[in-house]
Formats: sequence, structure tokens, C-alpha cells
Amino acid sequence: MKNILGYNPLSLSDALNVLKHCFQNSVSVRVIAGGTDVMAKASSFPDFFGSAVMNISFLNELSYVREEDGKIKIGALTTHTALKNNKILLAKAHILAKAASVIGSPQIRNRGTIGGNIINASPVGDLLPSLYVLNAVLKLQSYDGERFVPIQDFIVKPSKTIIDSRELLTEISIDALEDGEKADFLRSATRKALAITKASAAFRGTFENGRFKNVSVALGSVGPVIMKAVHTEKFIESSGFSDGFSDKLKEALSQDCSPITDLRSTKEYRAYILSVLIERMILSFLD
Amino acid sequence: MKINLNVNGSVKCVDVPPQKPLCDVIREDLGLTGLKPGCREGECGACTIIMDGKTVNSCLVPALAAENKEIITIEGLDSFPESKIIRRKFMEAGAVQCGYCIPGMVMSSYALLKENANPDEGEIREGLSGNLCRCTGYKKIIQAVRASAEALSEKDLKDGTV
Repeated sequence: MKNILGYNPLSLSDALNVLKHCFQNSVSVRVIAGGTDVMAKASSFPDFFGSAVMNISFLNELSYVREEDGKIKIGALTTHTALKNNKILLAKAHILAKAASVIGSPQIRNRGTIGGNIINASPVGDLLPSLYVLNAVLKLQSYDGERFVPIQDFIVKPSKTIIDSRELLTEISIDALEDGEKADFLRSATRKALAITKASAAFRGTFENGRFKNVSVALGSVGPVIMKAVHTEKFIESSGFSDGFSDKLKEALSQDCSPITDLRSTKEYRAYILSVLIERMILSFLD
Repeated sequence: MKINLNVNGSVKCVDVPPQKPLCDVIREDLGLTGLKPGCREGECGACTIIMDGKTVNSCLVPALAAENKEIITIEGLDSFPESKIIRRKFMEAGAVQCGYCIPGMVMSSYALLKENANPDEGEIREGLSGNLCRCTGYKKIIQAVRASAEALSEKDLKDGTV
């Protein structure tokens, strides 16, 4: 195995300085947090890391969940295990805790982080649909500044984000769900654990006088990135849940996503199970 | 890169590429071959170790991220009385066939019982959900963990009958 440069910063400012140093010296450095995606990819590609690697898993200052200014702020290195058990999330953004609980396995959840799930930018990332409907805003820091980017502007295609080589994703800010607001996340996969999602959906909306309003739906694994389901949202807000609801829901969904056939599922099954997941959520809210 | 590793209570300095998977460092550079690198992508759990009190897939931890972490491998588990009970119950239940998954299964069982002394079947299945076994069908493994929990709640430990 090729011996490359390794950096083990103990603070955020040290980490940002490593990125500055590498940028100024034209060294390409691979940043690794929990490593659950990166190391799996690297096992098939010997030169995956290039010439340097920086481990950021020692930056304890980036592991937290707290409420601030009416939002929930999550440190980018918070693990899936910590998200799944977090009291603030369970009370005010339970769809994110639920999504974290279905990722991988206990071992994966103990290492994998929310920041890694976002930077990996997989259309299958299980935290992403919930982050989209919770209007996640990402804080990107570099040694000479910071910027804030909504998640849907951050991920541009599979495995591709707009992050700069000098930046680290440090914090994710999400909405707290309001009292009475309905929300859920469901996914379909071959097994309960260690299974990659075939299709997933996060739903958020208010139910009043027999109608939904302010509906927000995000779809996973049925397009090149997470798909915001604008036609489906409008349809659900205008619908009376009478006969023919299922067919109309399928029709609306078909305008919002573009599932493909690959080794995990077929485009037909993905389209079918997606409508089932959403119908199942809506029925549970109507009870 | 020189990295200090604290494995099973003893600290050693190794000089390895920083991106080398920890499973390979522990096997090749420290000579502890109990953990098994099965899939090298976090799917099988045969390389499970405990790092700072939590189970992790050692194939997914780059060597530099293990610097100064408290690591327990299947070899080090022997010094904890609970692991002797788990081992005995795995044998009694016939929970082992080919044995390849067992070091990982025992690590996950130990971590589960540390966190939850009285897990029901669902909790055991969830606790072991990161460990694949291609021989047993899991039933006897789950029985062994349940029997371990019962034995640990009894007086075995205090009486020194382990």
C-alpha cells in the first residue's frame, strides 16, 4: 500500500489550516470523517486517497445537537447512533432520528456521520430526504470565511457537491417541526439491516379540516439526486382521499421522479413501492 | 505514518500508511488474527472490534483514526468474565458452525449485553444485525445470547463458577 501523507487535526482551526496548507502547496487531500462510505470505496480503488488523507473524526467540537434561534443545529460529525437516540430530534425532528436508525448496522451507525452522509451525495443517502423537507441549511467553513447553502443547492449530481477543497461542512441547521405537524420517513429495502434503499420518501405537512396544507415531500433513490416532489405536494393538498386516490398519486409521482433499473431494483418496482410508501404515510396520518 | 495504538490495554507504535484499514494493521502489524476481514466494505461484521466502547467495522477505520483510541479485539475480550460466559453459551447452544463470523458475533454480543443486560429477541436481532452468518440461520446464536443474558443475571459471576 502506497504511503501517503496523513493529518490528524485535533481542532477545527487546525483542520482548516491543513486544508489551507494543502491548497497553497497543490496537495490534493481526501477528508475522512466516519469512513463508512470512503473506506468501502477505497477498498476497490487502491489510489482512491491520492497523495494525502485528513482524518477529522477527532474534532469532538463538531458533535452536538442543540436548539438555537428556533432551529435545530447539528454538528457535522454527529454519528447516526447519536442522531437516532437524541432527545431533541426525537421530540422535534423525529423523521431525521428515524432515518438514522435504518442506516447500515450498529457498527456503521457508530462511525458514520451526518456530514459524511451529505458530502457523499448519494441519491440513496438515507438522511437526505428528511433533511430536504426540514429545509436543511449547511454551514461551510474555510480558513478565511464561511457560507451557508441550502441542501438542495449543495448536492448537484450523484457524488457531486459544490464544496470547495478549502472548505469543511461543519454544521447543519434544520427546522423544528411544529406541534401538530405530521411527518414521517419510510423506505423500502431488501432487508431491515445492511440493506441499501430501493426507494424512500420523507413527508411533512399540516392536516386541518380534512385537508393537508404546507405539504413537503422529498424522494430518495428515484432520481440522480433527492427529488423534491412538487406535483405530488400539490396533488395531496388538493385531494379529498376519495376513490382513485392511489392512481392519481402514482400519476403525480411519475412527474416528480425518474427511477431507473439497476442491481438493486427495477424502475417499475421503484415507482410502485414509492406510491405505496406515501399512501401508507398518509393513511397513518388520517387515522 | 507513526501511529500509537492501544489494543487490549497495551500501547504499541506502528509505522503504516495512514489509510491502511485497521483490520489489516491489527492482523499484519500486531499479529492479532482473531478478527476476520470478510467483505472489506462494512457488510459482514466479521472484523468487528470495540473502539472507545462502541462496536465498529475495523475494515472501515483508517489506521490514523485509531490513534490513541481504546481498542478491544476478540483476544482482549478474554480478560472480561462476561466473555467467558458468552463463549460457553455459544458452545452449549451449538451456535458455531464454520466459525468465521464468530469473533464478530461475540464482540457484538458482548457490546449488546453491556448496554442492555436483558435484551428480548428483537433487541438481540437488532444488536447482531451488523453481523452476517452464512451457516447457522441465526437461531442458535440468538439462543446463545439470550442464555448468556440469563447466566449473567444469575450468580455465576459472583460465585466464580465461570
